Amino acid sequence: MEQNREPLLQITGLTHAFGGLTAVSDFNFTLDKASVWGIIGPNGAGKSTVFNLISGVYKPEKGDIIFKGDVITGKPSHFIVAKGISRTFQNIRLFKSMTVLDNVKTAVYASQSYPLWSAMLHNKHYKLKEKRITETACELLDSFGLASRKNEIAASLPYGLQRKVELCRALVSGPSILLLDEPGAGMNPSELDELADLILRVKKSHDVAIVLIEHRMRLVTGICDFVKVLNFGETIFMGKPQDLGNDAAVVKAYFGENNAASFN
Amino acid sequence: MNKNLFLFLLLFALAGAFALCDYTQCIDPYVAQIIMYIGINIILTASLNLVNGYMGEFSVGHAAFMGIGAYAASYVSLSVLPPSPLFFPLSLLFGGICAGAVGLLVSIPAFKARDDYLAIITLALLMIVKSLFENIPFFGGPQGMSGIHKYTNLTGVFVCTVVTIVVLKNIIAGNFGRGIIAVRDDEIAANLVSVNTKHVKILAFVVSSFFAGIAGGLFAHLIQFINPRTFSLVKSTDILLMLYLGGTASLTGSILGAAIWTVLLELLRFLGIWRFVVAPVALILLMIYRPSGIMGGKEWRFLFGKKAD
Repeated sequence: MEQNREPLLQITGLTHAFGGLTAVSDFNFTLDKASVWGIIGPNGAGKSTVFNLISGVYKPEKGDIIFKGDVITGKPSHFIVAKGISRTFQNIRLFKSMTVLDNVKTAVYASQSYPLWSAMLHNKHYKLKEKRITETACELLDSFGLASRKNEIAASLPYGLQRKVELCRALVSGPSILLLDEPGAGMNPSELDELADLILRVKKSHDVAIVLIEHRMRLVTGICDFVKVLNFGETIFMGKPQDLGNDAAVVKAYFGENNAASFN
Repeated sequence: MNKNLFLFLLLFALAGAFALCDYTQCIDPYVAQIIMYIGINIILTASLNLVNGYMGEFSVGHAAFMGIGAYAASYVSLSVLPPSPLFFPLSLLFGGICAGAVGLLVSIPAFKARDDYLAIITLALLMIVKSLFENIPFFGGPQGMSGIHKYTNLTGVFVCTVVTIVVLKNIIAGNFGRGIIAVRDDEIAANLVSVNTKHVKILAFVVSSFFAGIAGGLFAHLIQFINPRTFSLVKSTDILLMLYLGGTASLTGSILGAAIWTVLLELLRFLGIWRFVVAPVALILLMIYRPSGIMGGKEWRFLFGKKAD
């Protein structure tokens, strides 16, 4: 890696509180291209809050988020997403009345926009754009094996496929960073392995850096290059997933003082 | 392609037939009036559908925009433009633009609130607009405006209705339409897939009020006098009724709802004042047995069919 290249995403001193409760404090994070980061921690550690701060759902109280050299702290969500940080949700949030295809097509709102009057008149420009949008979306769905389900209502799909649709929706705008909020929730071990393959494949084919929040260690140790552990909003560990079990603070956070032996 | 050509020819033939009716006066004026009411009500219902149906908000202020359109168009055609039907489209357009501009003004504070709160804000707008018309002498006070020329005819209403439906259909089919529906389904998720929900909401509101303004202009030039009471909450309720009767998030539903409700009220005229009891009872029954309205969010393939991708 080159020495003085500027990182894709740099977060410094990010702090946020809900009322008196500090959900995230002094969160620092540097993301380079081509890496997979895992953020883990017990429930309520502030993992999802970090995602919500990065993607503009909450405005941080302190700290800076610099993405591709620009400060994006406190910018509206749609701006941040349009700039290249896509995300999925812990509890899948598809547009439930829309078809699978329309769900994916909605996400090119900023990346392939056209003026309102084009849409009103259905002119050449509109038709060309819509054709390209549909093609892009179909290709992506096809690569996820969803081509045959594209005209079904998204909410009627089985859980695992809904996760894939959500992933498609996050990818269609061509992001540089993908934030995955517990992608493995509710999956069995073999589905988890499949998901791990999928995530690595996506990383390669879409040239996207990935940050994932996860409870399932199988997934974290399987695909993450680096791991960050949060507890009560504070970072207690940062490093390679292999070293997790040897870190006293991590073991304490998960198992308490006296149960270190039960890890692994 | 063939179907589109057929639809186009059908609409063209209908427009021709209406033009002939206007020219020869061969239709009973009462029937012609009902047909024009249906057209105006379709415009009102379909445009409200954009906000209340597709976007899932609840605006009760549609009559206010209709009123603004009616007053603005009437003022222009009475006092500014030469008295000729040739200039009627201009005054209609002016009415629509005024309504759209007020829509823009209101949408900015209105969409900081949601659901019930938006309903209350639009209700307040309705009251403000009505009392402005009632109390500012320029607008004619409680007597309103009279002596408006009868420029509205079958052809005019038909063309305006078709244009409204086509424009709304086109908006809904594209990027903005997906954005509007995304706001209804999950606003936060919409923002997080790059939809600028603030813009989308304002846009939907402005387009919706613009067409309500056009309908108001047509209405004023049909009954030839307008007063503030015409554009009260009762009118808004009427439009809401037609919308939910036909079913939200369906343009076919808006067309059917407006047509059925307008005709039903006329057919029940023999009941006298009781029709205002019987018709709503029919609506209650519909809501019990088919709460999603006649069309229930579906469209007629023939009119609004989407090509399979």
